[in-house]
Amino acid sequence: MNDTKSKMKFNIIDFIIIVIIIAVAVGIIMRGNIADSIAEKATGDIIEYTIRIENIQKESYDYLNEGDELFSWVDDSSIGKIKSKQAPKITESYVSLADGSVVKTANPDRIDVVMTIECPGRHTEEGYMLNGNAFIAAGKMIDARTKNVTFSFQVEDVGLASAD
Amino acid sequence: MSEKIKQKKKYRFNFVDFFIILVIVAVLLVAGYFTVFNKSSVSSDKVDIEYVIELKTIKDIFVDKIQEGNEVIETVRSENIGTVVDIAVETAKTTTQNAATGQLQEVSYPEELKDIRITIRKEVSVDDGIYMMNGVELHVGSHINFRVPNYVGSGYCVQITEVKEAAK
Repeated sequence: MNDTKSKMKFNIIDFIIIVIIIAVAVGIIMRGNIADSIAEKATGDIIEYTIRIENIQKESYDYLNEGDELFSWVDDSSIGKIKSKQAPKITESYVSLADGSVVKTANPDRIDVVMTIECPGRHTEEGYMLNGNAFIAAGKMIDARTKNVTFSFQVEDVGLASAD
Repeated sequence: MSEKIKQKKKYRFNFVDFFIILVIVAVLLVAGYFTVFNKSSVSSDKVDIEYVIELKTIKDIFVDKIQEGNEVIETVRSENIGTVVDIAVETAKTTTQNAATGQLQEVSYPEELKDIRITIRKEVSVDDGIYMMNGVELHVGSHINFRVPNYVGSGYCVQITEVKEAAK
């Protein structure tokens, strides 16, 4: 009987373990709250950015519709909705002639598409953040998809959406 | 005799003790690592440098996205790698071959493509003869992925110059 009592006695080691467990639990809760508060602040602005999809088939143009949602290939997160698309432009490329000079030429079978995308986000000192955590700026290359079509694009301009 | 056995049982080394010792050793190792790490970084030399990143064949619509005074962030490690102090823009060039003569020659692209040289200033440490910027190594030839508030890009470091006191 005495043996059982001494085995079950609460000691300093048990106390340390309980303190560590409580500290970890509090840490996780606080971290969760911080993440929530960041997420709340993340969507205070509407970011509007212009993208260019280069060198795609003409048929693809009809599969890009205003209102379609864009998803990142990297993590499947939403990166906005198509607000508008411009008329397709013939893809241009640069070739060198026999004398070595470089000129611009058109590829009649391929098109570039310029679209405006809207996405909730935040504007900070560091720049624009889609959904509060994904940095976006001109020059960035992104692999994306809509429900209909997959493509890569380059961001050409980023700003806050106008009030209208 | 039975009292001795009881005492022995009381102080028997068990899994919990092992776990606690493991945690303590891990904490000591981590603390030791950071102490040694900090010492080595404290003992390294600090110098101001200006280095140049060259961006090739960039569309001209991006030229004004990079501004003097922009803080530059390396995007792989998310570390600050300096402040833009100068931007030089010229029509992009490439090397092609003249089919008639076989000669390689430098020619210009059409005007809308630019080569941009960004000069960045940063105080760096010199560890074992290597310029280090917050853990990012810098050499002429290093490929650097970076961002400033309005532009994301990458280019090669093509020049590094130590800045003397008088020039600061």
